[in-house]
Order: sequence, then C-alpha cells, then structure tokens
Amino acid sequence: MRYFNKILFLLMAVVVMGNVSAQSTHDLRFNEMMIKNVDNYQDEYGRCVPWVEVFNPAYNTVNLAGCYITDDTTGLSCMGKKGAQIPAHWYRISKTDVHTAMPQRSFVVFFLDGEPLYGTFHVNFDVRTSKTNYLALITSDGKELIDILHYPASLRDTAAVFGYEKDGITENAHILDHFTPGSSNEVAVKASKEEKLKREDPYGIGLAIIAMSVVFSCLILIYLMLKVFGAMSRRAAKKEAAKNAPAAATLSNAEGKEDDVLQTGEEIAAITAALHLHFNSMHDEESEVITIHMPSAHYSPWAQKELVMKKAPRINK
Amino acid sequence: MFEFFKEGLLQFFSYSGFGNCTWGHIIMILIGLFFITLGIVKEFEPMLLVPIGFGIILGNIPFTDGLQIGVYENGSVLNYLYFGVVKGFYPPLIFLGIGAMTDFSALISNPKLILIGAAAQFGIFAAYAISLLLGFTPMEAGAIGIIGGADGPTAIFISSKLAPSLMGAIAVSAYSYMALVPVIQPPIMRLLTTPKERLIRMRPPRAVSHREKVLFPLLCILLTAFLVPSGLPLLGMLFFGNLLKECGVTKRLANTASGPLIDIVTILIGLTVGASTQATNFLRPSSILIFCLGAFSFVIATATGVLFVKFFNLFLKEGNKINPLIGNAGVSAVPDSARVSYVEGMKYDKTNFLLMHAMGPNVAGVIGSAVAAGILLSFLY
Repeated sequence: MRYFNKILFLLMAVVVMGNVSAQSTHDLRFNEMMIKNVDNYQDEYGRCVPWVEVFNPAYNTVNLAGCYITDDTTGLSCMGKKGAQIPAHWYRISKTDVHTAMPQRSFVVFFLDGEPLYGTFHVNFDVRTSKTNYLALITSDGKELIDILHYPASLRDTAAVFGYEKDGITENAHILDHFTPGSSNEVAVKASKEEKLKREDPYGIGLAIIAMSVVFSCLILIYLMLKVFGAMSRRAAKKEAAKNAPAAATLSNAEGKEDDVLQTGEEIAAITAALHLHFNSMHDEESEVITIHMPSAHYSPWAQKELVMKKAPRINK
Repeated sequence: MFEFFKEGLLQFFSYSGFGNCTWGHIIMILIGLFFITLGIVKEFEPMLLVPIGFGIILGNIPFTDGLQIGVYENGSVLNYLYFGVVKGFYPPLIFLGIGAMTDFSALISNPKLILIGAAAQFGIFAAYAISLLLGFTPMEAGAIGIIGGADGPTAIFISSKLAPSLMGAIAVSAYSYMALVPVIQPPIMRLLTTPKERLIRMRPPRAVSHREKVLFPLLCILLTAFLVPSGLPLLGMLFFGNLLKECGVTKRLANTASGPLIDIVTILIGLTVGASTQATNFLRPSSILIFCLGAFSFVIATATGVLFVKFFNLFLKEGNKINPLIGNAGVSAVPDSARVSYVEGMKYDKTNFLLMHAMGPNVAGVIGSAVAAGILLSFLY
C-alpha cells in the first residue's frame, strides 16, 4: 500500500511537471508568414524578403534561444544520437542575443532569406527555394517539434500573407486579409469586457444578481462542509467519550464526585480566561519600585552626553 | 551683489513649501490632522488613521516637481514604497496576518452564521449600481462598490486593479468608514430591530476540535478558489495564515505573520495610501461622490445583514434563533463590527454576550468580501 502511494505521488508529480513545462518554448506558435514579399514588410536593411512571425501565447517570458527553425524535419529522429550533426537547413537561434527573450503575449519576426550573417533573425535557408511546403519550430535539444505550419505551394507566387485569424489558435490557417508582422492578427476592434458589460447591463442589476448568487453559493458550500464536519466531529467525540466512559466512571467513583463534563464553549471560555488572568498575574519580582521619594537624579544617555563619553584616565602622582 | 542674493533667496522661496502652497494643500493637511486627532484622541482605529493621517500630511507638503520627492514621481522613496499598493501586494500580506490572527471557531461551531456574511455583501453591488447611475464607468463603479465590503485591504487591492486614479479616495473612504463603524452601525441596527428581537439569547457555541480547525482553511481555500480563482491572492493568503495559526507546528511563522509582518505592511500601506491623496488628485468632485457612495454602501451592507437575520429567523425554531443585532457584523470590519453587536446587545440585556456569536458573521464577511472582490475582478478586469 505504501509503495502504491509512492507511485501515485510520482505520477501526480509527473502530471504537474508536465503542466509546468507548458509555460515554456513548447507554447510558441507560428502565427503568420509571407513568401512573395514585393513591397511589404522590410528588414533592418530595407529589403523586402520572406518572413514568418512567431507568437508567445504564454503569460510569462519565453526564450527562443537555442531552438531551431527549419523547412526540413527529416533530421528530427536522428538528433540526440551519438555523432549526429545539425542538418543543413536547420537554423539554430542565437543563444547570445537578448532579443530572443519574448515577453508574455509578444511577437517576433524571422526573415526567411538564407542570410544568417545579417543577424539573429535571419535564418540560414531561403523559403523561396524550399523543397517542402512547411516551416517547423524545434526544441533546443533538437528532439521535439514545437510547431509546424503547412502552407500552400501557391504562396510562393502570391503576394499574400498566410496564417491564423486569432493569435495562438492554430486552427484553419488561411490567406489573411491583413498584414500584421510583429503584432496581433486580431485587427478587428473588439469591445472590452467593460464596454460589453456597460452595454449588456447598464444598471448593474445583472452583475449584482450573479455576484450575490456566487457569494452565496461559495458560502453555502462552506456551510455544508462545516455541517458535515461538525456532525462527523460530534460523532467522533461521542465515540471517544463512550470509549473513555468506564475509566472516567471509575475515576469519579474513586474520587466520590460526579462526572462533570464541560458542555459549552462559554464554560470553557470562562475557565480559560481565569487561567489566563491567573498566569499573567504571576511573576517572580516586581518590575518597578513604588516610592514616595523623589528620585535622586533624572538622567538618560540621550539627554546627557557626558554619561556616555569615556572618562579621562586617572593619573596617580 | 544685492541682486544676486535677492535672486537666490527668491529661488529658495520658490522651492520651499510656502512658495508652492495652495488652498488644496492646506485643506488636505487639515484633513490629515483631523485623522490623526480622531486616531489619538477618540481612538477610532488608531493603527490605521494615524499612519493614513500622517501620510496625508506627507503627500500634501507642497514642493516643486522634478525633485523626486512625491509619491507619484518615479524613483522617489515614497514612490518605491507605494509600489506595493500599485501592484497590489500589500493587501494579500495583510490578509496573511488577518488569517493568522483570526479564530474561526465561532463560525465552525455555528456554520449558519456564515450566510450573514454573504448577505452583507449586497452593499457592494448596490453601491455599484448607484455609481453606474451617477455616471461612473463599470470599473470605477466596481472599485467604489467594494467600500461596502468594509475591508480596507480588499478596497485597495480592487481599486489598484480597476480604478488606480480613484484609489486614494477609495482607500481613505474605506478606512474612514471602518473607523466609524461604532458611529454608523448602531442607529441602523436599532431602526431595523424590535426590542423583543434585541433580547434573543443564542445557543452557546460548542467546543471545536483541533482537527476541525486545521481542516477548515484547507477545505475553504479549495472550495472558494475553485469557484472564484480571481480571489486567489486574498483568499489564499487568508487561509494560509489561518493554517499557520491552527496547525500548531508553525507557531513562529504564525506569530510573524500576525505580528511584525502585518504591522510593517500596515505602516507602509497606511502611510503611502495617505500620501497618495495629493490635493491635485484628491480634491475633486468625484472624491466627494465616492465618500457619499461609500457611506451608502456601508449603510446598505449593515441593513441587509440585519434584515437577512430577521428573514432567516422565520425559518428557525424557537431556541435556535439568531439575535439580529449580530447582522451588522456581516461586513468584514474585524473585530469592530462584532464589538458593536456586543455593545448594543449589552445595552438591552447585561447578561447577553453576543461577541462570540458576532465573530462568526464577522469572519464570514472577510471571506465574503474577498469572494465578491474576485467576482468583480473576473467580470471587469
């Protein structure tokens, strides 16, 4: 049974660890991309080259450093094995660039131009000449696929942007109407929570009813829990009392007194208060001396600095 | 040479408080002095009103902008201390201390009292609705409404998230009304109860076992946080503090949380909230409205607590009835509102001790207001 508990605990720990790793590079997603960039987004050198946007949907900073971007995942199964080499089309993101740390819900754009010497965000393959029609993001150990974005081959000949309608929701990638490299794909102006509430519940009555229902539900749950525990506790106390009854009866008979059990909290409180007062009033020696005589001198080291100064040494002649 | 010294003196004067003083500063300094007087002379919540009052004076000493002195100037000492208010980490620390010093026995022994703590939260949402009618935005209305929870840390926590611009007024209003509990609540309690009801004697609470006390915070956090995760910072710290107190093996941690830690945070929160009430930000018509709405929500919260007990009594058997004078304790001003119940009860029957009974709804109010805060956050933030 003890071993079973240990195994259960380990399994739970694994599950929890699994969830913890969810707030890491595993969360990163390709968000949108463009191959035929004629007069659209420019890199830092003013060139219009293909690009892809990566999104961090987590609510913490995630560092891309060491991860790979590629258009060819064939080396995925070999990585990690002895003597395995990094495949040619795998671009390893620099570990020394501070800009690879992505703040929560942020975006970063990589240029797919095959010019890695142009900077951290320029990959080592040119997507315009790729033999495949996908982009893959791979973990820093090269063993796991973080995300893959399949695009239509026709994207190479169309000046269009391909991706997801909503950031981080990787369903139904398609040609988008808007070009938003480095920012959210959700360009439609959405009403905030506050605006929606103002529109739907202008007098606050709905919120009041719902909120009071939730407050009552919460406290009713606690009430029910306390009821159950109270009943269980009373039952346990009765059992205990029944178990100790013969011994208590013997003791009271031997002392010739009635069995006097404390019934209420008030009695207990009264006895506790009496004991508290009794123990607090006990002390070995008085802290102050009460006298009618005036003290001989009022002094303090704060008021009379000479009292804290070193005395001049006495010289015996 | 004379011109040079004259110019220097004039510049010195322009930098001094006298050179920058306005009527607003003087009014705010007088308000600060009034708070300190209330705290010291009348002993109304001195632990809160003295730091807040002094903070108001600090925040309203006039100075030239750019000297990195004011609470709103980046890099100033007061600004660093104010960070805990802006980011909302002082209130959960105070809740940790409250948890470590609260005894939930009264609630555990008589669980039905917890419902009074729920009913009294109506003040929050009534004030929310009225604030909307007066033209405040839903976020501002939510932050104003929370004053009715009678819980200073919760009010600061919510206003720092929903309406940072109104935080000074909301915090000062919440703490002022908490201090004025003994003045505000008794007339409402007397108005809504009959002499016969005020004499109701409640059954003495039963003794609560150690096991129940330890299990209470654990089960409560699971129940409440699963339902309202947005209340996690407040509820989590409250029940964690209580677990430290009740488990019996972390006495040192419980003592720190309920002693030095809460004292330090109270000093910092009181002083910086006071300092945030700079005349330029504070003396506005909206602040007066917030004070009025705060009073309204406090009155409604007290009234609904008392009325709920009367309603609840309709379903309870004779001998099990609840004295409606403990209904006011549903607001979470711990332990002042419970003390008010006790004092009012003693006025009508010198042998009717309501303090222990009133502590039940009082601590339930703390839980209730934290849950209500969580709901407001999830709807508005």
